[in-house]
Amino acid sequence: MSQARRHRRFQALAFVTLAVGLLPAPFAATIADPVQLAGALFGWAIAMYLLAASGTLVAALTYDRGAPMRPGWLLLSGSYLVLVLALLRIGPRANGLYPAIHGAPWVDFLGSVLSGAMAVTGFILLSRAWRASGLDTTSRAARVAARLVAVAVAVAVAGPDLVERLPAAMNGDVLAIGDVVTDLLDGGVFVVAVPVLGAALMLGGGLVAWPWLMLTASLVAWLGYDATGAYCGAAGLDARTLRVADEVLRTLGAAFAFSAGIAQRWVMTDALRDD
Amino acid sequence: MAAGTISERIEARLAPLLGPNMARNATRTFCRRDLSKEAEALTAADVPRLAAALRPALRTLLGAATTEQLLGEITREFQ
Repeated sequence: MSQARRHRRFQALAFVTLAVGLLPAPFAATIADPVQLAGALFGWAIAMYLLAASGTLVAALTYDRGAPMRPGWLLLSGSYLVLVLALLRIGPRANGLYPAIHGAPWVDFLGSVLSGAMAVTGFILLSRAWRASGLDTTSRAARVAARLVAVAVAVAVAGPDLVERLPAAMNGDVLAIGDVVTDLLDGGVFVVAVPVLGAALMLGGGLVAWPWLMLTASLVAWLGYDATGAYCGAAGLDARTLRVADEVLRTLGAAFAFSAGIAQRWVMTDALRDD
Repeated sequence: MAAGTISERIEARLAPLLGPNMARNATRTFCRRDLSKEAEALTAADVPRLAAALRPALRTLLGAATTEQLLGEITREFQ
């Protein structure tokens, strides 16, 4: 297989992932009934989380036991599996679609926190493995500068939602506490994953860059998911549109995690294969 | 593949996977760090040692099988 053809395969994967990520928008356009739409989005979110958990698991299992990247991928897989279990317990989410009482706020809280903590730890392990490889030749000053930029971006994106939910959280609202902790963890994921973003840039033009690029796309989508509440609300979008935007970004975050795992496997198994 | 210096030929082997910039950086960095010489001064006799130095880093990104295949191709080219 030629080098250009190998790259086209990864490009096709990225394109399909992007297309899948946009699917909640046509769902919303064709399903007028809010209860039915909530049900459809519930099933879709579970499918996407399972896909993300399986793609990242594939990457983990493609590495040998003891390989430095393996635990990071395993934790990313676990972070999505936790979300599946939490969502199955919670059921369809009504928010933005119709008035309803949240059925299991503690499950939502614990699921979000556990998943976020696993994702942060997973990215720390992936970043450490990358740094330990000796291939990261960026200076300490450049690394510190990159982290500061990441902190600024994370604060700008997740900060407004955090500030908005903080008063309710201080009054003991479990869902608000979950939102605040999730905002902190998602911002934290972005900051600890800076070496992953750096790797994607440094490996540019090589096949190895693809999984890192897709992990970066997943991170950016999740950060966007945190930002929709604050920024789209301020832009005057109605609750239903805001919910659909949330679902698009959630799908992109999960779908790109799946594709990153598959891309990692392709790099490890097919990169030098003669067809 | 036979044209160019030894380091350029190694870089050309690494570039499809690591990208041209990282291929050049990796060759230069590991030559200096593990062989205590500049990449331009690399000889065919140094290649197995450079391959051994690159192995852990490549295994991190490519896994064991692809790394061994790639390093095997590189070392065979200079035997």
